[in-house]
Amino acid sequence: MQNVRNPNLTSSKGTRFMGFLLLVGVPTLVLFAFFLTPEDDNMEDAVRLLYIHVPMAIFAYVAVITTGIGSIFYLWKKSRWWDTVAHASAEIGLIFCGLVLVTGSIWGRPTWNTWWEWGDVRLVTTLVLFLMLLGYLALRQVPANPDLRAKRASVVGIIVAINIPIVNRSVEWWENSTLHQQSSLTDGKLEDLTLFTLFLGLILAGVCYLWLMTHRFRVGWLQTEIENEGAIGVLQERIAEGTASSTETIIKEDGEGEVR
Amino acid sequence: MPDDNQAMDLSPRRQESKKSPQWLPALTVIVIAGAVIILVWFLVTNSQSFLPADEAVESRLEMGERRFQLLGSPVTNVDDDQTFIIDGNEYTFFSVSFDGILVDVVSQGTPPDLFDEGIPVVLEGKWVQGPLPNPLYVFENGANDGWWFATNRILVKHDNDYREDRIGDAEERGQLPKASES
Repeated sequence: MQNVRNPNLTSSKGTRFMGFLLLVGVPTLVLFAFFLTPEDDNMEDAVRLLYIHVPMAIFAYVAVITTGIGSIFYLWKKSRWWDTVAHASAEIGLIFCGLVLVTGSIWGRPTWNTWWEWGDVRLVTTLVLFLMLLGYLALRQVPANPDLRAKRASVVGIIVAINIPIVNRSVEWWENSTLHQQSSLTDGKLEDLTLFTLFLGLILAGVCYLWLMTHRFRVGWLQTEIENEGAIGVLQERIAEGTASSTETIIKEDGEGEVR
Repeated sequence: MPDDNQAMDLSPRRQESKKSPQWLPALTVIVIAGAVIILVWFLVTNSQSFLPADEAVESRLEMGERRFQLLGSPVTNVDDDQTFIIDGNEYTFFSVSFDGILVDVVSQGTPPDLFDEGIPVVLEGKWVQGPLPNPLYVFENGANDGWWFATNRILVKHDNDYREDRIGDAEERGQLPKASES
């Protein structure tokens, strides 16, 4: 799983390629978002947040759904691999979800005339998703047997993932309880360079998710291996100590004639 | 050489575990409980949603003095001749429409930057029946039916349309009277 040449690294050809894509892609996105795309007739420059806010939101959903899938497969297969996938994806999902809340709030001020609305279904369900992810990750830090910890986390992981359709559909189900717009992508309300730049943002967010996911998964896997090696090491140490003590006792018996 | 008592200590040894901070389980409980409380509070208090202008007109007698959030699209943008200083307060006069039904609005303060024709707004306020703060004012393309909506908070509910022909689209949806009708 880890880099064979240097086990201290989590990089590989694939991750380096993704890193290169991001190095080239992010400045390209900035170029399109800030200089080449037109400002919106009404929203003016605030529209440029679209190119980061929407991709972050979509891949926050992807990350949480991956956590849900990983959790289901862990409970089914009892495989550490799936547990590590769920854990890694939840961490990235939390970062993306946090960025969605921050960029959304920054966008909301000039657009809606408010930073935050407590009665807004989309905003509050997204905040709940963020808090649930935080809870999921905190739960993973609670000291417990690794299997028990993974089992508990998987149950919470599935609950967190169930929240995704609610967050995503909230703008359709409760249209008159949110300031948030409905999807521009699925309704075909974007055109020309704006649409192209949004797709570029989506591709880069996807690459960024995969890149972070691969690294975080490998770190998680190494942590699991260290935990396992640690347990085996402790056992071997005890066996070695026990063997040494027995040998010393036999020497004592032979040399000093002490019989117990 | 160790003595006999030390030679074979087979009693279970306490393994030195990596101790997580003691506040972590408490934090977990607080975070999950917080999320649940927010969700429940939200679901309980969110029973009131935006009332579209046409429904608000239908129910204005029942609404009385109750504050609510009215949804509609400004019929025109706001010009300087729609803003007045009366008794030291700034008032802006405009009309909104939803599904072809017009509502006249008196807003305390200046509308936000994104306030524009065809862009839906959510107005927080209440119905008033009677003379306007400026009794001589007549709403251009407005209802002028003796009822007006007094608001002191305007939120912009920007739609999902980023194309150039936004106004034409709003007319098609019935959120704005068609240019030929006004």
